[in-house]
Amino acid sequence: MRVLSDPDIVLNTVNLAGGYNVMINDNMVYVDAVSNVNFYAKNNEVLGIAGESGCGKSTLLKILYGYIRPPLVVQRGSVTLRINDQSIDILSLKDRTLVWWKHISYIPQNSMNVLNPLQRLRDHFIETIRTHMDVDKDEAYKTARDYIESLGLSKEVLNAYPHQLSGGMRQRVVIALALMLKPRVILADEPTTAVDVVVQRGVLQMLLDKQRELKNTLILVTHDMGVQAMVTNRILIMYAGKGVELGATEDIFENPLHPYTRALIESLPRIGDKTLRKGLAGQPPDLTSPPPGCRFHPRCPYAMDVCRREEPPIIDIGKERFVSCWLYVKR
Amino acid sequence: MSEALLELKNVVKIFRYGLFGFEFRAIDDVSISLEDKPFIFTIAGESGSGKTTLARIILGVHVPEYGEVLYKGRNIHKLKGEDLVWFRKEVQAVFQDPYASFNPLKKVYNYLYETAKNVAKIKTDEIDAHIEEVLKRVGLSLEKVKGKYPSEFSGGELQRVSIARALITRPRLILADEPVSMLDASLRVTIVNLFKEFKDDLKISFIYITHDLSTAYYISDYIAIMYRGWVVEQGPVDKVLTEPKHPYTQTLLLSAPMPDPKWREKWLKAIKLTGTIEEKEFLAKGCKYAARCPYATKKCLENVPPDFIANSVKVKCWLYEK
Repeated sequence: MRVLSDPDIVLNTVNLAGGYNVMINDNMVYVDAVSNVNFYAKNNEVLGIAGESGCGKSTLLKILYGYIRPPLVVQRGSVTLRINDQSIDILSLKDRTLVWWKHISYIPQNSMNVLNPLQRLRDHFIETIRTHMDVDKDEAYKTARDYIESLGLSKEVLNAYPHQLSGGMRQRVVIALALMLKPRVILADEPTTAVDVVVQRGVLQMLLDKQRELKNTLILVTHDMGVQAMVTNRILIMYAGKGVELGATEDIFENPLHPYTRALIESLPRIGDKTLRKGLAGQPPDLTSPPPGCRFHPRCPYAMDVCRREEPPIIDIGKERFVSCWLYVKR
Repeated sequence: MSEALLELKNVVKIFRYGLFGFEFRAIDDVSISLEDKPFIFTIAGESGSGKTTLARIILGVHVPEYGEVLYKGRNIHKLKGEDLVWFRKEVQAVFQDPYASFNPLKKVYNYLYETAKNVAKIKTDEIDAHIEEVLKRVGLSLEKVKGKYPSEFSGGELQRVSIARALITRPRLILADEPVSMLDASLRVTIVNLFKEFKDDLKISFIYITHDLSTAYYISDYIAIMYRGWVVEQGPVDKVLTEPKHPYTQTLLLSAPMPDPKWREKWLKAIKLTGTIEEKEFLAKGCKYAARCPYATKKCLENVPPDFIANSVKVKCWLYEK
């Protein structure tokens, strides 16, 4: 999509494809969860990845992090991380633990439940610090304490077991852990889906404050277009494993180009507006046998012949706006 | 005033937890009156506010310790035998997770058949025609449903089936507990549109339980906002959600992310998360929201606020004392 020479680009993916090999009724089938996705993330920005359940957003994030465990396989493509003018090819890296947490961090889904229930929170912090820094336990504890206090959390938190904290608090602790080593790229997978809106606002504000302070890159996966509108600078819209639209958040909400993006945004009711909204008919395709051509054509109100035959190219609209739809191909 | 369809009078539900049977009021002195004409009434609140407990009380699953629930003037927790079947016929429910509502080993059609036979008491030879009719209402057909297990449906389709099942008994009231929160955003509106349509065409009233204020605004006529077992504000949805009176409703509305970047500036204004522990709020002596409220005074900490009327909305807050 864009050459890697742009110094602002910190993470670049080219033709990324991956999915799952699973057994269904004694047959090995391939679930085509991420299919030729191209995008880039820049320094000091919040990039949102949006789409509905099963569109491949979480799979994409796992591949970006290089967390590839069976049945997940990567078919082709590359993920390049650029740290201090050095390019790191995430997918061919032998020992990813050297980049994880230090350069690139991952906040998984249900992050409130990833803490070890038998360990005090201090031990989580100490272990992380000592994996990457050559310090003794006391030193590590002091670092952790200062860090926790700098985030406005009480140091008492460190002595608690995970079950003693509320969900929102645990979520903030996991985020704190993920950001402790000042990574250049933070990957967050639905970091606030299980909490209330008031807590959600607090947690996301903390994530944003930290991003601004470190001037790094936050890649935020969420299906919630409200959160996308409140938090992100740019959005990648995914549908059935494809990146269908990429652009600045304001532009996407003001003038959605792809029919899927348009349906997604226009189906959302807003307070103060009771006009009739229409949802999308049908459902996303089965990714073990995706439809030919454009994967959105069975649900698209504008589907043409070419949409059923050929996959649409990615079209550069200008101003960092990209859309993958035959409607925008000039012929 | 015409007779109310559903009336909750000072309902209290006490739960116990912990080793020593520590008590707290999950529903605390809730009164709601819904008139007998088609309406959609939303009960909104966050997790732990008591909305599902209230739903279970209305369905007769939980029996309140104090107060009573009257449906068409009859106390639903005292119904027996034929009267209970009548109540089940009149009031139906749709739940959050359609995959959890259906037994995965049982064909979906059997649920429809059994409801038609046992609750609606439809004659055996008319059952299929009736089922076909309700399935058509939700955009499905008997052909698509017959012989299939729940796992063969998508979430949106299965939720439609559970709505169709609720329609079989020709109910007057359907209680829908978070019916769209498991569904994708683009499907949600198609489900809530059905509720609107059934209200207008079939004269069915709905109690819609949700934490999502935007769909609540979109479909409902009235709304009650719950907080820690209390209804803190209730009234017409146009008033409550556009000119919120209670400080909690105000925070809630400001915190809900809106799908419009123009709201960003307001939303990004820093919010302080307190470390208050839930059970302490349930047990607070005065207003349960006082610990978080920016306007809290000594009075709020000491005394439980009664309902005041402000802008024809009931608000449980001392700020509106006349």
